[in-house]
Amino acid sequence: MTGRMPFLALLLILCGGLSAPADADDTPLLVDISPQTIEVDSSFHGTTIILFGVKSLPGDIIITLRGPEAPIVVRRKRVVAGIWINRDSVAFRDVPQYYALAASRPIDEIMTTEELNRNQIGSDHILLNTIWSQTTDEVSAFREAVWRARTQDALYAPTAGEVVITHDSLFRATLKLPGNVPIGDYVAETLLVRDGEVLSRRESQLKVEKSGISAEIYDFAKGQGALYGLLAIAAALVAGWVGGVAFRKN
Amino acid sequence: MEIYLPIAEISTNVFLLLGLGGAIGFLSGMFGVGGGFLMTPMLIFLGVPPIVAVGTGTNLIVASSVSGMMAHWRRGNVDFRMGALLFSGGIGGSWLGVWLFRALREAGQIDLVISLFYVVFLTVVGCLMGFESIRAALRRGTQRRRKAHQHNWFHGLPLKVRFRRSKLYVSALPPVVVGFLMGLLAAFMGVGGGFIMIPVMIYLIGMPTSIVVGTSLFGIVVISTVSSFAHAVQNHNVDIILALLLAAGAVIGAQYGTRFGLKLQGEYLRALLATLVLAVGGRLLYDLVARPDDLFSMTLMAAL
Repeated sequence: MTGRMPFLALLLILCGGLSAPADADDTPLLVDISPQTIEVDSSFHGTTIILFGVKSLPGDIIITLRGPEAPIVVRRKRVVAGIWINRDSVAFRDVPQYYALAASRPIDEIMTTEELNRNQIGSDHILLNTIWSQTTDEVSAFREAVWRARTQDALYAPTAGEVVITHDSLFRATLKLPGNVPIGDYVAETLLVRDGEVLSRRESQLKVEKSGISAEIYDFAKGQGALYGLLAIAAALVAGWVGGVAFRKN
Repeated sequence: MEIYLPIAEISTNVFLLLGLGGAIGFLSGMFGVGGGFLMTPMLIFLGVPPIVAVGTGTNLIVASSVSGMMAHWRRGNVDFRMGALLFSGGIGGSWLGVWLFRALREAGQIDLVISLFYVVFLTVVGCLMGFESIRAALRRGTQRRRKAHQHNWFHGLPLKVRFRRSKLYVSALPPVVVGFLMGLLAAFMGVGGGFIMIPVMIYLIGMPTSIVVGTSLFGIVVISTVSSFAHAVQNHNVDIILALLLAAGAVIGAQYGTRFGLKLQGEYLRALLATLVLAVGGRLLYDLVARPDDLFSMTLMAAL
């Protein structure tokens, strides 16, 4: 009995680590993500994460990583009396603050456009639902502005990364997270696709957290504005007073 | 040495911030002004969001004015009754200002309004100072005599109060109104407003010059304290790390600026400051009229 314990423990760790229920031997897809938590402190300059797994059926792999979703307002400037002023605006619901994609082949070879739209894979196929729009322009111009700005900030990957498949069953993909990566819960979705059809899908969680003193200051300022305000004033009073005293003695 | 500013959410060089604080402190020591009206635009040029530049500015002014106020206090040059009236007006002005600031932020127009306020105000102050220094340079030597204080329509207002330290018996309304306007300015621009308060106290209220500087510094400290607090509560835009680094530079810079300023002649000093003020205003104006690189901008709604 004692001899079997380490083996059982190892099995549990393996299964747990691969985020699949222990009884699902028949699942064609097992995925894990590493690291599962990213700590962003003041010296953070970006990192890479690795998604890896096993598939038991032939087919292609598509991996998407979506950052926390939030509603955003996009504004367009127009000239009013010679000055550029924010005039038109469109609000979008649930816009991912980060988006990256990796696939074992170009995605339009793996899936039809309709399927890509339905599964919302790739920059051209993600729906951005408008909450309201106050513009005479096409809403699509605002939608493109979101992608342009996010791509510029390296938060949306302009092209799909590569999923490497080895021995027909092991796969792995590397995704980049830039230094300005938003804080929150990320979801990586892995799809196993054959003949344009999704055979299996798995979700893995990734957490991006602020850490260190600057994170604490940020949380404090947002969470307890009044107390933070008093502390900031106290610090200013002391700094000014100390400065005055120090130079009076000279 | 890079440092991450937690509220401004940008990384900047520590020595750049100390240097900027030092330069503004030097100028404010040299010209005898608060320097807030130069600090906020400089922070914006550095890439600090305008909202954070203003909120942090209010906090910075607390630090840079308190030692001066205490020096005047020790010499008995603060009229606390006048200060209390300024304060009561200032609370109202600050809260209204910060509330309007928040409303404009949610409407996506706050950056524009901050820039406009600065352009108008730097242009007006720069021109006034420029003309004044030219006139002074032309008229050097011929001194005009002024009465201890003139009587004007201000003195006909009701609610008269006796200000023992200022040796005045005037209405309580002007100080309250001035305090209110200063509070508004402090909230919107992150400035102390001494350049407005001092002329009003001397020319309109008729306070003795010896009391004016100490009392206005007292007013600036309390009003910027209230504004800073209101911003921290309503807009979460006070960056304590940024404020302390700038304050450290400013305190040191001011000492050298004061010494240097004593060597220069007043009108040249003012002409120099006027040029600087107009240059900063011009740059802000250029940013408003030049076609931006990207016409579109995005804001997270959760951040509103």
